[in-house]
Amino acid sequence: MKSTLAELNALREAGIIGQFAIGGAMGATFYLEPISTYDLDIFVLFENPPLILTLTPIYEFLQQRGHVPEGDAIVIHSWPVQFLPAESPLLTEAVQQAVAVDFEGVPTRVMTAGHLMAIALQTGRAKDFTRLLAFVESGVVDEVALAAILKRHGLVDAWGRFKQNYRPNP
Amino acid sequence: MSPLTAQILEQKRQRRQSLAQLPFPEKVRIVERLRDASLRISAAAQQQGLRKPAVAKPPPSDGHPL
Repeated sequence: MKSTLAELNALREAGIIGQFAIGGAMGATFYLEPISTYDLDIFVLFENPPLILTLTPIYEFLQQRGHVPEGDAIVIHSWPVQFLPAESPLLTEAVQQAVAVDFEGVPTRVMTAGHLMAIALQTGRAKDFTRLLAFVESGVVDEVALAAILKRHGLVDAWGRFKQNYRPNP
Repeated sequence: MSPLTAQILEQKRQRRQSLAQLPFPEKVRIVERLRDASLRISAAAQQQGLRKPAVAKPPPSDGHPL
């Protein structure tokens, strides 16, 4: 993972991507118990986005460095990495406000717990609700920060429905 | 719920909590081991005809789903 993260920093240093942050299951693993996942979700901002957003420059850069595309990801030092443009206001904010983390000497960034929860709520698949419950039960969430994120991104009603349907056991 | 089941569930909760408190690199190493183990199980299940092969994913494109 350390070498994978170093390659992501190389992409950033080459100016191909702007800020980025780890999200998805690996982002949640930063806050919770380890969660089984096959890939690494990297949400990226583009500093000078073209009219039509494309991941081609990312893939070209990484392929020149010996990494191989596989399905919907590119394998970087044994980790399939999926790049996701942070296009929505929620994703953009999540990348901008991500937490700086030192991974065994390699700097990287992980989305905040509040943003990971809001994204899971917005995405709304069964596994997202499972992850949301894990966050709620863990008690790691800053509830004031979460409430502000949910309000800014129009997710207050969805959060109310989630709590009604999936209230964790006391 | 019987006291025994309640005790087991509480122990599981405590285990999850202690795993959550591990340093991030250590948790990532656990994820890597989980991933490798589940890939081996999946391959064995396919070899024994217990599971159909996974459908190939589409090639990389923009606008990936999460």
